[in-house]
Amino acid sequence: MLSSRHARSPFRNGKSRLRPLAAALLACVAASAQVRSRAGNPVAASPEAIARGEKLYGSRCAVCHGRDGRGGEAPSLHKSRVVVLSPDRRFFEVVKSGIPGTEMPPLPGPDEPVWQIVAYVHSLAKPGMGPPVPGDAQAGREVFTRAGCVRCHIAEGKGGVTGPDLSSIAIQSSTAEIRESILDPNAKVPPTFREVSLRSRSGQTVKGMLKNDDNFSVQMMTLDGELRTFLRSEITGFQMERESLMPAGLGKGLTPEQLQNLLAFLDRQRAPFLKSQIGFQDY
Amino acid sequence: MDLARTFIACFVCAAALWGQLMDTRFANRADWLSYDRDNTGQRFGPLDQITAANIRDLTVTWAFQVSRLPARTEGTPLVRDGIMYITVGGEEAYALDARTGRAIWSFEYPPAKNGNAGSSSGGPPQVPGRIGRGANWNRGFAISGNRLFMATSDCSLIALDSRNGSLLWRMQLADPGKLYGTTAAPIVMNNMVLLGVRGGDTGMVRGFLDAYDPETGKRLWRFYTVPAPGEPGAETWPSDNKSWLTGGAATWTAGTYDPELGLIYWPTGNPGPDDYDGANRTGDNLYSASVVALDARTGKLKWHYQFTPHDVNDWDGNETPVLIDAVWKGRPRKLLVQANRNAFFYVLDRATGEFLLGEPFAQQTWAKGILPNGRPDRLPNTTPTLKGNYVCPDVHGGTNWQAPAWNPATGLLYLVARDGCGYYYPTGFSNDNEKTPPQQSVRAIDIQTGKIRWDFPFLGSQELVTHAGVMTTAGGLVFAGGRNGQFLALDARNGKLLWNFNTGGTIRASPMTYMVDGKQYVSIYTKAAVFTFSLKGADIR
Repeated sequence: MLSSRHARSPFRNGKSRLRPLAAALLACVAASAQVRSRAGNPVAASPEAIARGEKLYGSRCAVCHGRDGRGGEAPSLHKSRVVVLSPDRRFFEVVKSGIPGTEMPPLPGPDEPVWQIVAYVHSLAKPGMGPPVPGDAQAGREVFTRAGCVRCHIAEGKGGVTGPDLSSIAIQSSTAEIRESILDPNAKVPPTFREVSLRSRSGQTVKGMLKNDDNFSVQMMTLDGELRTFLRSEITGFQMERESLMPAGLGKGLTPEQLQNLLAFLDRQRAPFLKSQIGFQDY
Repeated sequence: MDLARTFIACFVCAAALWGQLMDTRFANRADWLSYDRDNTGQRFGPLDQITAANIRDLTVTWAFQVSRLPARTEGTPLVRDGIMYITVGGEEAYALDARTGRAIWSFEYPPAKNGNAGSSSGGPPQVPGRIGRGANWNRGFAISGNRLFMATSDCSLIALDSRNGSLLWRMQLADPGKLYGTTAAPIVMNNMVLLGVRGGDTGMVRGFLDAYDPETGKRLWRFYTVPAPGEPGAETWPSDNKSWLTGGAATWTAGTYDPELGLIYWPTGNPGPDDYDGANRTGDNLYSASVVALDARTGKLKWHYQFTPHDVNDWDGNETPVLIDAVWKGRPRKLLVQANRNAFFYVLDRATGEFLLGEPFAQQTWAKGILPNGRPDRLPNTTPTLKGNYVCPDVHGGTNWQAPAWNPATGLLYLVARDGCGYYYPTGFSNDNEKTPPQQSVRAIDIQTGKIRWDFPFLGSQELVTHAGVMTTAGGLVFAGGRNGQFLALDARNGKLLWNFNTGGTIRASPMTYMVDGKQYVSIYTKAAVFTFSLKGADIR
């Protein structure tokens, strides 16, 4: 079972409502990044302009989008339709005018700082934008099945639900992040895939993944994929585990060739519609 | 024994001095007439119908859903004589029947005309040529007579007739094209309307606080929170550049007022330019991250206290300066207390600005403590570095602008606190929530010692920051909200959970309470609606 980083960016902090339309457009473009025109930015992407943009981004944008653009309070810019797909002028207009009805505020004032922000954000590396990952994707599909990944993860519309859906993994995480997750699944465990062990008042112990909780109730998925809910008053024990449910030795058991083929297979997973995930918190 | 004596002394002193501290126009217990109810910042509701003994019967009486979602909903409703007044972002407003939630009138700020310069001269009600909109979040109205005052998304202050929502006058504080904005609830004090500005993070604004005539909108005075060369405090800015012109120190939250001393207390934000890189603004950068005490008649500075000299962590200092009359070390004293975003709780003498106490109330690693002269004893290697310096609190602070509350019966200050750490760079910050998961909670601070009396932690993921404030009542309760939409009530004495309701939408606002026809209500503004609660039976109308 793959874990953590694969779903880290899009689902982090419950930003699971990665809009299907945005994802669709993003997927189309991820394979042909040159569609987006950068000719519209009057500020040359010089180191000076990018440095100035980084500074402005740090004070104006990072509080919501994260210092590295991976999201936080607001969605990841690495997967933003406006950032990845649209012409620079459109990205500029969104930064300048904000998005009505959302928390994205306008940035009125001179144009040049806005263009510098645009230049900086475009300088950030984004998953799915590089050349195809080398390897035999067909053989990688075999590895995905034979190694047992498919028991917990969905790819190409088939698989289990107890691990993150990998249908769009190539446009959600970099190849390096995917590799790390396979080899070291405990490096980072996404919030909605943390293992929890509950003890109910009836004496039953239930293990699974924590999907949501607060002072009053707990929502979880059991290890066999069943959704269960509990009131806090119905629980006598609540234990969070630090380790991922994905077997740590699974990735290490692969030969270098098998691993490379698996990465090539996962690099093909660019489904336009992301499976809806349970949000960790309201936004 | 000492604790009990202190408790009684606090209560007696507070009761004795209540009339002097609180402006008489807030005397009607049934109303909630200002962002924090009155001029003290205590956010104490003097109603006691709802108590720990009957709160199990507290239920939703009505909800009012706004038609258009603002970017954020941060407002506190006002209630006077059974009518509730709410703002929706900085562009809409409603008057509601406070017993039923039925709308009486609505107001929509006229749409912007792109590209035209706005008038800053007050101007006719039509608002010709309004400049494009800014941050569309807003913390509510101020009220005086038949006038409501509201900050708008284009950095203006407007007056509406409270009876029909008609626009009476408009004053533009500053050019939003230069990144100035207004989001705070205006405050009426000393027959003036006070409103500050936001924009300190942009590196382009010089903060100020304005006072306006409520009848005409004429500006009475302006206090710049960054001194010009030659003025006192200018020595805390470089003399070889003009960083003071964009020195920040924005005034984006509400202040408080002591009518007896004739002093207004206003908190200020981070210095600029460059929140996290102070290289071009060496010095303490007065009066950023401070509280300033101003003569209410003239707006002249009487004293100041700076919480974080030369702030490079964007900690601001905009938390409510709460005014409390209490016995301090054996004698009655006029106090100003603030739980600051830098994770320290402060007690000052509000007549003189004398520093009395500074104790951490949340996780912090940046200062050894506060020195007797009131300056923080900053630890080495705690400023931003290119590789990132790991410091507590993180940029979200030990608390933030969300309202605290003080209850004279318990002597405790309540607030939503946050324990969290993060990396600081000259270009910004980042968090590593997996390394050190942040924890948020409702916390009670003993103002006499700065010690934590009780703590109610929010369970579940705390990665998203809670900006919901608190309110306390004479019924011995603390009401609080959470980012996940839970609205709850705690026992003011010990933090015990007594009641909760899932509103289903992010709460970024602070609660309030009021009374109509002998029935106490409690209201909270959520992402898209105002929810109002009362004891069972109140909803049969």
